Amino acid sequence: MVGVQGPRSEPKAILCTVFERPGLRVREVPVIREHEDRVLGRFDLGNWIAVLVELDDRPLRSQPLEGRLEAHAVEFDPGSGFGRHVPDSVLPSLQRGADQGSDRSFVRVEISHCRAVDADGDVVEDEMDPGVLADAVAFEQRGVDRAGEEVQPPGLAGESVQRDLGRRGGLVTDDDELAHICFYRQADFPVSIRNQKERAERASGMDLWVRLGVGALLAVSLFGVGVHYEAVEDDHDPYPDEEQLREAYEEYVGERALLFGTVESIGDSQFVMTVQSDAGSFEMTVPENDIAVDPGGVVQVYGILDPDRTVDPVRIVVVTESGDADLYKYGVSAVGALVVALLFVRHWRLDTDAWTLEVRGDG
Amino acid sequence: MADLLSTILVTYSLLTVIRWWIDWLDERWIVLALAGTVIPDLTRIDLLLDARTVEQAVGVPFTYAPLGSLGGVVLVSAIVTLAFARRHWRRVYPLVLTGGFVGLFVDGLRIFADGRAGFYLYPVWWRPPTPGLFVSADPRVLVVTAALAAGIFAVDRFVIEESPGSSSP
Repeated sequence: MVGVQGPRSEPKAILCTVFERPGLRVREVPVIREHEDRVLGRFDLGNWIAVLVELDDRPLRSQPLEGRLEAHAVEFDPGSGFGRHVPDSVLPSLQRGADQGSDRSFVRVEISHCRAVDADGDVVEDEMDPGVLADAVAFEQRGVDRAGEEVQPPGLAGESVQRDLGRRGGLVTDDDELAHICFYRQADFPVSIRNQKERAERASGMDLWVRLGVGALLAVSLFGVGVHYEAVEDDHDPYPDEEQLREAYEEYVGERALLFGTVESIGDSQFVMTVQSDAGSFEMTVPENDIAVDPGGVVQVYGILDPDRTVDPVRIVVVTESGDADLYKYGVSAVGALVVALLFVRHWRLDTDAWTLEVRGDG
Repeated sequence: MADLLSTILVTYSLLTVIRWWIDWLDERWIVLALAGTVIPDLTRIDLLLDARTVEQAVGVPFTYAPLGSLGGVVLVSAIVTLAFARRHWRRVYPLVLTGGFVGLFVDGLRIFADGRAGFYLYPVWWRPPTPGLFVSADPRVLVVTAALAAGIFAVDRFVIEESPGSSSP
């Protein structure tokens, strides 16, 4: 159990026992999983936060804890190994745990100094030192039978065994339970991939709901904007809209209008176009036949509304010469959308842990 | 509205030039601006779900037109940004917004018979004058924008990146 000083986000986050001796970085201490709450309840941890409570029973399963305790029972000084922060009740608890066999064991606490933490406390992943991983993994792979050799010779109770990995900048892998702890010093921060992931998951869980809430708010706003636009557009549009012309054309005779229509037929002196409106379509006659457009093409007509649904054109613009032009426009637009989609997928991915879009290859 | 591919090529050209001064603006970020360019074209949702149908369903007037306006782009860009990890927001939002603005700008260049573009500055109810450079289905737009993008791509690849001291990725 190793504590570090830093922001404490939860009142009883993780059990930690505090050591603070200059120069002493690594300790070997007993940890009993089920007594965490009890110990926590009697400690005021203040601003100390546990970096990690990790149990690794495997290396020591062949080394009963009981034996180790018995060998030094006489000299055992309760609490001294914890800087006298451990209540006496811990020791009986420890003893009971030892009596129950190999499920209770010492934890070898490997400590390496970690850095590579940005201002938010996040790991700067580029600074991972694979060398640390190699050491840690090698340690575990030595197997159960040789685990005892790796445990420092039992000394006096309270004597701490220093094992410094001798490396800096070390992140540890998720399954490396021996090297998850480091002290917090100034810019350093306790880091393990597992701890970071857990913190990130907790944060992203809240973050997801916040994002969904804000997103819903924005979506509602967007819908509201659509309603507002439609509701007040007529007040700002200098021309009558298509629906008004369809329903009450005669009221607008003499006014100017800008119409978009699909050419239906072209006669000797005029052409007829169909104008779409929300309430349905209607036909308008334009006394002009000198236009480069085929039936099915789309035109803009800006002019003055005459009786009998005729518009006297001031200017006519051919938007599409035929219906095929629309196919071109939508086809090319679809290609554009596809290109963007492919490029996007190439560079971004969906992180299903946090439900966010993340840069590919960025962890 | 010009075809989407042409507008995307304009955005690509613009962002590639900006990249010459901003080191971190590599392809993965430029893609976000390209995606933002699509936002004004979301008015085409009308082809799939008619605004009239929405009106009947909810009982209030409704239009997709704001998606092709300043206000709509601002809101949609924000929604899009929320989909990204929080640490990217400061880059994602401006880039998506930039792409959306390019889409609006290009759309504002096309021809209107009365010489003024649509209300694409909504919520500002003003139809800015349009130079009337093209109609929406004009294939020459694609030719011009493709040539522009190809030229800038060539300069970026063969001049900028190979110049001594270049910091471009």
